[in-house]
Amino acid sequence: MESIKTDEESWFRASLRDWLSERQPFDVLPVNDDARIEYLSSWQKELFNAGWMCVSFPEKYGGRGLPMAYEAIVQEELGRAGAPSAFHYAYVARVLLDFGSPEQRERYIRPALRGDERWCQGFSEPDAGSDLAAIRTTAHRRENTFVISGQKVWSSRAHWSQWCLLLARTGPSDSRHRGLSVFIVPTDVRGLTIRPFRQMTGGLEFAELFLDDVEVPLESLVGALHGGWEIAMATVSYERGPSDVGTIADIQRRLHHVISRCAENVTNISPQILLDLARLDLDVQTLQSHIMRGLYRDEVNVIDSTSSVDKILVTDIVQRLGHLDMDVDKATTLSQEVNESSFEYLYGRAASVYGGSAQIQRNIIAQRILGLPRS
Amino acid sequence: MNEDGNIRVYGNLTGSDQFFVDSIDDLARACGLGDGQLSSDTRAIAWSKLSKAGFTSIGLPASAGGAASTLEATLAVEAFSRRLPIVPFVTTCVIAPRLLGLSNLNVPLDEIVNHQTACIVGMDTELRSAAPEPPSKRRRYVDVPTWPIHINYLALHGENLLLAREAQLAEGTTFDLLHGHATSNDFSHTVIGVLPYQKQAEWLSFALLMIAAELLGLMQGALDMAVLYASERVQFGKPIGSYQAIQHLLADAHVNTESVRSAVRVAATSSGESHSHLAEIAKYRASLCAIPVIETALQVHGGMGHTFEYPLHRYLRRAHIMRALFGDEHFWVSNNLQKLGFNAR
Repeated sequence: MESIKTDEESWFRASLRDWLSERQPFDVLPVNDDARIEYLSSWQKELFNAGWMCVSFPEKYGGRGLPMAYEAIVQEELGRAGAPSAFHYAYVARVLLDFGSPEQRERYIRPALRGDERWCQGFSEPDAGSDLAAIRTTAHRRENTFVISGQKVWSSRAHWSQWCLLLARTGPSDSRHRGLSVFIVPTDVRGLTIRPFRQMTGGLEFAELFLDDVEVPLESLVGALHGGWEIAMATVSYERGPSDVGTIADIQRRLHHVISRCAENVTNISPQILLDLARLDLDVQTLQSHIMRGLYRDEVNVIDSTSSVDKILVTDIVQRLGHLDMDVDKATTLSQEVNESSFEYLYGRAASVYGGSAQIQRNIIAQRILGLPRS
Repeated sequence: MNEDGNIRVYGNLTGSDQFFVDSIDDLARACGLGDGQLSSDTRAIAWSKLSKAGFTSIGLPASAGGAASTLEATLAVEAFSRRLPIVPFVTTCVIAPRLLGLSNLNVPLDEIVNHQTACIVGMDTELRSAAPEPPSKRRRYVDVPTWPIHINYLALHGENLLLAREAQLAEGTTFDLLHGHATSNDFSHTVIGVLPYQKQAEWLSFALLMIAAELLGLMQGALDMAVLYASERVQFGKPIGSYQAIQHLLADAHVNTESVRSAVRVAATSSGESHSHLAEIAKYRASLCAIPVIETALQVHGGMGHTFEYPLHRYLRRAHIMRALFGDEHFWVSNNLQKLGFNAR
């Protein structure tokens, strides 16, 4: 895209492009969970050590203190080079940067960015999904600790994580969003059981967490006591917004992959599929413009309802790409053995659920942006 | 850099940009745009008011008294069309003057600026100006005013810029309440200037972007009406906008409108090699999204939206013209297919 170029941006882009071209080629992302996690973590370390990981973070954490737009440049260049993104934990680091104590920032941000420590989220519960303010997991003070009890679900990659960012009720049971707090919980703490379960992709990414009188020190509290709702909303906003996601790089990489597969086998591809592909390519470019506009909207991180607009646009692209990928790769059936295209297709179906369902995003847009009355 | 000292980056607006938009909105309302009155008199009066306010020359290059930047021109077009222009603003005041300005021609520029004439611009449906034969009996993209005003028709033939005074257009010209697009019959034209291909490409990008900006304004205008209506219309004891069935329709319309806004703003603030490409993307996306958004607005209005009196159908009709003008979404998808190295079959 490169709409507006300052000299610094051009220089930054050129040096990243050089680095990536020396680093090429990039392997296809492994479908196997362990191999995938291993691959992404080592790629993240490589990026971090070369200075390309989270360039908008302050230098003391391993970033470069650059404006948010440079993150988009990194995404664009990764996508162009066919490299995977490796930014799965950056949103947690961003939350800690904004809400964490100086000690928490010092302790956790750098290892998260470097890929040394992985994080999961403990937000949703069996009876509190879209209605997050209904969570029942409690945390109460006992001497110099908080004691946490309850059950969490849909915690992605929990069993590969060292830390969990956990939302618990610290106020009365009917306090809704006013009585919630966020804690940093080590995943190997006594009383915490993690049970991964299989997704339809065949992967073991999800897990349930069972917390039975889990004790964490007082300094595990992030931000203010009962101030958890704001942090939880910021977390999902970073997660679904453009500032963190490596989605653009992944979308570009997969789109190029599909285009080149079509080019290799053009006589066997129906004209209708090619038209869909050309249409999707234009929509991906629109999405890029949209994300660039969002990143420049404000030099500080945007935590507002516009991330719901971004999420709906991204979800549309991801799911259409999943369909096209499957259609081009005719050999693929949805047998239990997945390959890359069926994996990505199945995985992409979750895009309209995780980080707040597509329906919740539409509620947010209707009520907070358009100002329509609540039902 | 603008006068605030702020850099406009990736299509975001500064305080003075916003002030500019607000002023145009005030002007549009003062001119009676958006009233939905379609009499010839009303249109002629609005036209003259726009001219006096200096907006009939907004498409000229900045050096010749036009908008200060491409972004500013898109903002003006968007703000006017949000109030449903009942005059052919984008072609006569923006696209044609730019074509004449790039050619250093004053004919018929002075007449446009003084609201004595409207000007339409034709391109063949492949958007190629280098047609082997003179522009006759070819289906062309044009945007035609339908009230009694002198119409000039500009067309490109190779590097020559042709002008037809009082162009005769084929039947079907007035198929729309506001404007039409039509097949041009043979007309007697004169060569009034030369515009090199490179300048033509620059002009075409500008035109695509301005048409996209008009579509953006139309979508936003229709969506504004629908949101207002949904907040006020009560059924089952509550405003219909409190029901999720309605909320989700409008949320999707907002998402589509925002995606067009991003495409238009980013293209308008771009320069260099990527500019023409981004202008095409903006035209594509605006053509794709405008009709569904306005149709959603119609749906939300229930029976009211389908009356002749209520102005919503004019947004829809106008958007269909702008969608077709210089290539609809299907045209740009085929174009992209070729860019990707696949021949359309």
